[in-house]
Amino acid sequence: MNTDDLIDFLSTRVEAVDPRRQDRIVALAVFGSLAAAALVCMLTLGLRPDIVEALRTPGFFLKIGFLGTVVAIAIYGLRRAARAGNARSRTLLFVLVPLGLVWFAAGVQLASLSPSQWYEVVMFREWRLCVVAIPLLSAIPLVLLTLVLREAVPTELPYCGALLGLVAGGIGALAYASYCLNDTPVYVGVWYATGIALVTVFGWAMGPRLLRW
Amino acid sequence: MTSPEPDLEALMRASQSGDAAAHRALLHHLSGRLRSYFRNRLRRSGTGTDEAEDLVQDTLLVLHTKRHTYDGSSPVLAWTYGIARYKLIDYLRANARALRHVQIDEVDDLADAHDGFSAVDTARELHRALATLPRHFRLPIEYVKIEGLSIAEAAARIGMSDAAVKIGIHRGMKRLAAVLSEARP
Repeated sequence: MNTDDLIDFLSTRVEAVDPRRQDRIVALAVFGSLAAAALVCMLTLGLRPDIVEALRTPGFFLKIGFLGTVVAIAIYGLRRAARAGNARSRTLLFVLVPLGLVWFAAGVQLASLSPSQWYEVVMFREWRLCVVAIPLLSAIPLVLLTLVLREAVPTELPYCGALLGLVAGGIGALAYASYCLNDTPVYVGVWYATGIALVTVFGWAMGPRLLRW
Repeated sequence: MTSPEPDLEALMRASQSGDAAAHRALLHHLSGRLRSYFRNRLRRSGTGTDEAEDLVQDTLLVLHTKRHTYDGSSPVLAWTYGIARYKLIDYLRANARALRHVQIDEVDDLADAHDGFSAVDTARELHRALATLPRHFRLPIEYVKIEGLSIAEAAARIGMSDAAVKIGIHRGMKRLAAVLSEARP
């Protein structure tokens, strides 16, 4: 087919499109998958028994605040990265800010303890579950957001995949927080961060395959 | 490009709200940009530019079906070239794979057919064997089997009858096969 004929053909019926539709679908996928992952977590692991008391402690809010900030930054970066033509941004680096704050708080916490107690604080008994459960729970947002992103036309697939993994890992961690009893900065800074980082690396490595269009 | 640059962002907004004329103008302008982009890039990568038009059309289709994902956060041209670059890389990768594939197949075929002798070695060996044949065997084979003349043409050129050429080819090939099989362990 001649290119001019193709242009004529494509211009015969031009329907109005909504450029905001993409953002709405992403928002729907984020909140939908957060609700679904939290539900799965509660059904399989259960709700933390001290949830009422936890809601009154600053540690719990710091944890949720940290995870929420990471997810928000990652969504902002993903929104840009998923669109062709945007120069690669440095959004991933901004995640170091909340991470740095948590590590700082963790340092303060460790400094207040004697070094003999450090091992016990870091290796809290459920760390293995934390590192496994966060990636598993993030499968739900990972799948949903992959489907949404493929509809857009991402062009930097590994970078886009890493941000996708960061969003999904953060959502998985938020869902896992409904079960997890440990709100200390050390635990969050080590094991939550590890779980999220695993999903991010997975997204980076699999981005070219997951997001091809 | 000397024609004045149209306001592509305005055209895109109009096209997104369903303006067919704006959509056509936008695609038309971008098709020119895409054509020179793909031709340049294909030439630079050492690939033929034959596929440029296919890539232009491919990209136009994406621009058309994905126009709702353009949100004004970058210039229309940046968006377009971002998509074009993706298509180009996709094409070059597939093309490189295909080329590599053919070469590997050919090498395999040659190796199978000649017991590990390279094509050049085989041709040299054949000519050496051919040179050992007497003239009335050698010329019919050279003219008909190698140069591709007809029996009648070869006969006229050598000054032999058609029948003599045919017999020469037949017996010469047998002799050639014997020489070659002796030459090889």
